[in-house]
Order: sequence, then C-alpha cells, then structure tokens
Amino acid sequence: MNNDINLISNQNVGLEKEQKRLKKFRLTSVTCLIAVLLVSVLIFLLNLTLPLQTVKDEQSATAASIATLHKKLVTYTLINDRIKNISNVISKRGNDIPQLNQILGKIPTDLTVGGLEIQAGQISITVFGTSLVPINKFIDDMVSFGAQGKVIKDLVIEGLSLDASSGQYTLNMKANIL
Amino acid sequence: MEADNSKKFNLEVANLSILYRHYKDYFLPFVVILACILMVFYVIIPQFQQYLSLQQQLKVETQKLEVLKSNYSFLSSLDGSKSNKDFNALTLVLPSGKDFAGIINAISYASAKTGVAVGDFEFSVGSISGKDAQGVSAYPSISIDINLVGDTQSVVKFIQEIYKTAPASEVTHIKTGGNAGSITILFYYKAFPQQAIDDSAPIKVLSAQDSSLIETVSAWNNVSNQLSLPLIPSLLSGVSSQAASLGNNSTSPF
Repeated sequence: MNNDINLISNQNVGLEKEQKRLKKFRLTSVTCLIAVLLVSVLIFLLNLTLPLQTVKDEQSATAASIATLHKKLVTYTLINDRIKNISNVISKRGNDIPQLNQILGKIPTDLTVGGLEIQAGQISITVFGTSLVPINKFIDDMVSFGAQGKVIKDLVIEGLSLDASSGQYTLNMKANIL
Repeated sequence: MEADNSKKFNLEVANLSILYRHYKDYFLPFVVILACILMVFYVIIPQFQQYLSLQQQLKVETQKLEVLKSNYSFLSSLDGSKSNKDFNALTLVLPSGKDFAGIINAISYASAKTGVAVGDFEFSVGSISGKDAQGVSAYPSISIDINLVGDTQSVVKFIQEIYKTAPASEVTHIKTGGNAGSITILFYYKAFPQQAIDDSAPIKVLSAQDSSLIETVSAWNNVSNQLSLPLIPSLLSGVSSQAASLGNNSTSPF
C-alpha cells in the first residue's frame, strides 16, 4: 500500500498527542492550584476555629474568681506546709520513753533506781538493793530483752558493788536502746 | 566575520522564537504549578506548623484551665472556719518562729499535770539569723535544759506529757538520780515558706494520713489560750489535779 494514499498523516497524529499532553498539563496545574488553595483555606480556617482566646478568657475569669478565695488558698497551702514539716519532725525525733518504761517495768520492787541517764540512744542505769536475788532477776530480764532483740541492742554491766556499812548492793549497767 | 556573528545571533533568536511559539501554551500551566509548589513551601507548611503549635498551646492552656477550675471548685467547697482552726492548731505545734511563751506554757502545763516541780532552766536560743539547725534534722530549734524535782517515774511522765504538748519537742538528754533530774529539750519551729502562692498550681488535697495527723496534733495539750501556770512547787499540787482532769482526753502521738 502506498503511503501517499493514507489520509491521516503522521503529523496530525503527533499534533493530537501534543494537544492531549497539553490538556493533561493544564488539568494538572489547575488541580494543583485548587488543591493548594483549598488546603490553605482549610488550614487558615482551622487556625481560626481553635478556641485559644476563649480558653484564655475563661482562664482569666476563673483566676479572678479564685482571687476572691485567695485567703483560703493561702491558709490551705500553709496547712499543707505545716503538715509536711510536723510529720517530718515527729517521724525523725527520738523517743526513748517506751523503751525506758519497759526497762523501768522490769525493776523489781526490792530495788531502787539510784540514777539513770539517757543520751544519744544510750542508757546508763544504777540500781541498788539489799539482796542479790532481785538484782539477778533484773539482769536476767535485761539479758532477755537483748536476746529477744527488743528494747536494747546490747548490755554492759559496768559494776556490781557492796557497801558493807549499809549492806546495799549497787549495780551499774549500760545499754544501747533499740 | 561580523556578518557571520550577526547571522548566528539572528538564528538563535529565531530558534528561541520558534521554541516560544511551540511551547507558549505550556508556559502558564508551568508557572501555575511552580507557584503552587512555592505556596506549599512558603504558605501551607508554615500555616500547618502554626496550627500544630496552636493546638499544643491550646492543650496546655486547657490543662491550666482545668487546674484553675478544679482549684476554684475545691476552694469554694472548703470550710474556711475548719481550715483556720486546723491552721491554728498546726501552727501551735510547729510555730513559725521562736515561741518562748508557748515553750514556757508547755513546761508549766506538763509540770502541773505530772506534779513534777520545775527548778532552774536555761534557754539556748541559737542563731537569730533563722538558719540555725540543731538536733537530728534541719529544723531550727530552741534548746532548753530543765532541772526537775521528782523521782524517775515522775520525770518519765513529765517527758511523756511534753511529747504530747504543743509546740513539738524532742528530749535529747535525761538524767535522774534520787529525787531530782535534769532534761534537755529541743522545741522545734519552722518559718513559713517565703515564695508567692501560685493560684494556677494544682492544690494538693490532704490525704487521710494528713487528716489523721491534724486530728492527732489537735488533741495535743495546747495551753496557748490558758494562763501560764505558776512554777512554784507549793502551788503545783493544787493545779495538778485540775490539769489532770483537763488532759485526760489527750491522745498520745506514739
């Protein structure tokens, strides 16, 4: 077949392709423009609709209301402060009285407390009596406290003496309080 | 030569002209796409970043508002008279400064209640700069050495009474012998915090443990509103029975 008799020339086909390409390009550009404008307007509107100013206004109003109750707030804050500090003081302060009461409770009635000193968790006690039996019982009870790991940590008998003139035995002991 | 150059230039202009005529329909869409790309980078992205930032700010501000509302609601429902009462009780237990009157009253009260006569006593005021700290903790305190007249049991009772009497104290040294004794007591105090109170800070609601502490210390002997009792031993027997009846309902903190 002769090319001369082909009514649709190659040139027209190329032109048509180019027209299509141009049309696509134009469509793309318009789509881009619309998309960009839409997104931009959308974000702008979103920014506008954020209720930041409303929240700030409400904050100011609530803060103004709280200002009328400021005295209450101060009192309550200071109560919290006092509680924290009192709790610390009470938990940290030493109190040897319960242990001391237990020790004094073990002193037999036949014995008399001649002297007692407590400082920095250490107790020194002097008892005297006319018989060695109550003194022995007292020592046993104190040793028992130490062995059970309650009231005292350790026990040192510093002296046991007899005053021949009065017939009294004197016991000196030292212990570390738990 | 010059004619050659002129011809070449004319040819290039002619080429450009042909190219322009050929692609002039693409020119406008190309500019539009370029403008769109520029808008994305210079308008949309910053706008979006601003949106995210505002949203974050809104979140923060909303949280602040919630705290403020919660503070307001809490303060509105707070019983002012009970708060004042609790505050007074707590301040008597831990004064904000050196409460000499409170200390003397506490000693007098314990003395009267236990029947232990108080002899000489000596204050160690410590530093007056407000930064003094003695004893086991960083809390400032006033140290006082007291001579007592009474047996060991009476001295122990005196100490027990002091421990449940405002202001808060700690006995650091006990010495007894025969019918006399001496003790060293630290009376604690603590200045109020100096910083301004922020209305927008969340209020720490008292726990059950805190309320229990308030109840406990409110039940301590508190002689701030009573007259200071005399320290003369001859008058003590008269007041001790009265004081004993007053303090029967006190609660020990231990």
